[in-house]
Amino acid sequence: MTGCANYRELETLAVVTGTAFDKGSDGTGYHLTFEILGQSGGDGTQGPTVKSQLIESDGNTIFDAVRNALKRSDKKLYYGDCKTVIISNELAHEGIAPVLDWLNRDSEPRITINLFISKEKTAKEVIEQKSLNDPITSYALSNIDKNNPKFLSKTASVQLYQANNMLGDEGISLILPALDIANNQNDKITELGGTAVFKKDKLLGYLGSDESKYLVFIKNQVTSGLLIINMESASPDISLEIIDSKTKVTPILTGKLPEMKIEIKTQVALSEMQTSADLDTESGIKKIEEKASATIEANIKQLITKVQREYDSDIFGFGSAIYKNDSDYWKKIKPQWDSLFQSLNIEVSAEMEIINTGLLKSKTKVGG
Amino acid sequence: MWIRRIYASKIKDNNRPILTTDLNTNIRLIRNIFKDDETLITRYIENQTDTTIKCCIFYIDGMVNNKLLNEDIIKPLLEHKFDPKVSDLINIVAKQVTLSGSVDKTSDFYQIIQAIVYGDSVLLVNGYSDALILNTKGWATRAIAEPEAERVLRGPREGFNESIMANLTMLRRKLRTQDLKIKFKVFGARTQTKGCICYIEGVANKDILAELERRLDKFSIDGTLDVNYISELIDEEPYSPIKTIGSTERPDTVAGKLLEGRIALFLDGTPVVLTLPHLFIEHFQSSDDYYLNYFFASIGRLLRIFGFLLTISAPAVYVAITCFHHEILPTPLMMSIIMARQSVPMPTVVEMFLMLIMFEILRETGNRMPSNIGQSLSIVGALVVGQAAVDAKLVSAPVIVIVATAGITGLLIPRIKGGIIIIRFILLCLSSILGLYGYIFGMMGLMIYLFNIRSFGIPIMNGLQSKQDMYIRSPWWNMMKRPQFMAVDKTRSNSDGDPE
Repeated sequence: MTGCANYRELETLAVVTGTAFDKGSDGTGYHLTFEILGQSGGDGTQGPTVKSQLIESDGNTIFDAVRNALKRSDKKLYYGDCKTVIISNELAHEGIAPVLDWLNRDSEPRITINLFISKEKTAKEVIEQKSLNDPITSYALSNIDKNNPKFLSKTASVQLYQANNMLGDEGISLILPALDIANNQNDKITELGGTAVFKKDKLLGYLGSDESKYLVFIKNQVTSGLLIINMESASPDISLEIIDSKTKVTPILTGKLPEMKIEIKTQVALSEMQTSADLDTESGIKKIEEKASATIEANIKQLITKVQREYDSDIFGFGSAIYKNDSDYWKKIKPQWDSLFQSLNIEVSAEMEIINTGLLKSKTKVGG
Repeated sequence: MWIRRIYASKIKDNNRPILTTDLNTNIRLIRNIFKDDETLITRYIENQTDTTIKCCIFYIDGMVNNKLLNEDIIKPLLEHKFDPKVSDLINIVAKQVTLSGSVDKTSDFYQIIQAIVYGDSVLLVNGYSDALILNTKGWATRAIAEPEAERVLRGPREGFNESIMANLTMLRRKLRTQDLKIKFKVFGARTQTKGCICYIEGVANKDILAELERRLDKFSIDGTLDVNYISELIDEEPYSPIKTIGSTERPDTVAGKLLEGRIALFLDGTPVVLTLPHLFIEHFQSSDDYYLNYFFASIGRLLRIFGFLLTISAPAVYVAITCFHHEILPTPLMMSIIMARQSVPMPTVVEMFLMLIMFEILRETGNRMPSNIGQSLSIVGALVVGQAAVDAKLVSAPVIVIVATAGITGLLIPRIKGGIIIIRFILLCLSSILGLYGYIFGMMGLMIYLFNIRSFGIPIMNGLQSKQDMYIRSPWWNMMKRPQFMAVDKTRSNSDGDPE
């Protein structure tokens, strides 16, 4: 029927919480690492607690590897609660469409799985790391990714269905959040590390965290996060917290070549000021706004130029914007889009509005 | 059918003896009928002034008011100075001598026996083939108390007792109108129980009344010890787990139902009164609803409806979700259920069935046993069945929670207790086979069934109950109309519907 006509007791299932996809050790096939729910303790008055368990499995295909895990696991793997899929660098270079195929085709995995690319050598080492609070690393990663658009906006969070859309649509290239391993106290820990840039389904390279923020700006996915600007000295001295931001990407198709106009309207709160300059007047605020606008414009231009030059992959969805604006025009230029994108002229205008300055009116007073 | 014929013939068409004019023959006749019944008292009386005047009184010991019998009947008969020339002695006795409240003259032997067994006294006078039936009924009755099963927070604290006349008095006190009609009937070929149909003329629907009388006439049974005997015999849906005839022990509830155009059926010897037609929503109505503030009453009623849905659904939905649709479970809940179910040997369905049956056993035990053992029962129930069973890994804790939820919410609506148990088990069976599909099919089936059954021609699910009194209880100034189709006179109030 619809995949739910069979009676299964919950405890007979090994609940997969996350999966790391690696290439097989001999260069062919796949090596999968599943993180599943296990339990520890449970004697006396204390109930059992949840812990993370890993099962590694090899197979010629992904499903083969999934089923081969049953050689080691006494319980059938259950994919309904899998929240995180990490794909290794190496696999992504070869193309992630075959990996996504099984996830999309099978009935159990949800289309809201968070996808990540491992910047480390293998995906396994990423999923192996302990997380800070959650006993299950995969869930911790999924939560980090959930918090990212709420407070950080340093990379786009991509779920399986969004990845499918980006892969399948014309005039837009796939990006996925990347993970790397950092030091935290004496441990190693997984952290979000920028954005993986794809062309078609093949990984080209990465954008750093700060560059990713401007990528998110262009894609109109900024809901929160900080803007750091420097007013006087070379080191940054002002933090602006984004409260609301809207980006409009308008293609200009009147000229010989298509052009792009990016308009950003952002409302921010002044939330940190380290500068000694006297900026607590109306004109001072204006100055900060202008500086912030200029910073955004410069950074965005820089990012676009970098992507045009290094990757030649339309991760911003400019092609898609043209298609939405004028589908006939898009059909005409589609064959040459790669070269057109590389030389695309971009106009950026950012409008910044400081709507409050937090609890302080001017800078923190230093007496004496 | 054949039972009906046998009993009918035994009582009515027997070769009935006929009273003679000779007192001694008559005494022998009556004593012969009550042969081996030593409670029959035969009191032979000779008048003190005229010893030719001989009478005899028959009554059953314990069923008569002795004081009344001695002082108002026997004493005058003994001491009355009869005119020696009198010719119509029996009428003189009836009219001038006895002080009883009602005196009937009859020669019908059947009637004489009925009078004796129902606490009246029969007076035979020598030389007459007629008997006088004197109303001397008097037996101990239970005091009027609040019914245990239908307690209210506010409102009258009286309940019916086992005496039909006392019950009718209680009703009459609430409905002081000549429109209150009371029609007596006798039920049970052997018990000869007195019963009556009550309705308010001009409010009750005559078609329903006629239908009720038709059904009452159709059956015959040898005994009716409680109204449930009748209720089952006249029920339109005898196989339905949901009753289509209501019952109550409260006079105020009966009065309220009569005012809505319903009909009540009283039976002697039981404090329970049937009310009909009975709509489904009436299960959720309580007489409190009308005595408390309407906000509070409405919340209470919504809670009862919600409790009904919960009690029939909770086990089925739990099994469906944990065994078929793991996707629905939020991950933290799923983790805790997995942890709880570790090393529990039985499948969830079996666990659920066992615990539900266990709960029903506990409930039934609670009903049956003497109340002073109640404490030990709750200890056994809570500790052994709950805590210890979980610790011993016989059942998982979530199942106990679900069963307790289903059990407690089931007690919210004690009137459909039986129906609830059946529906709950059917839904559980369905959802253990087909998951949520089974549950949904089951609920659809239940809905189709409920919308199909009728109570005395009225669909029980129909919104014929006035809408102001369905899911919520509207304030009285908003309840202008009686239930549609049931009542003849549909207007309850002539005010404009606005509170002053």
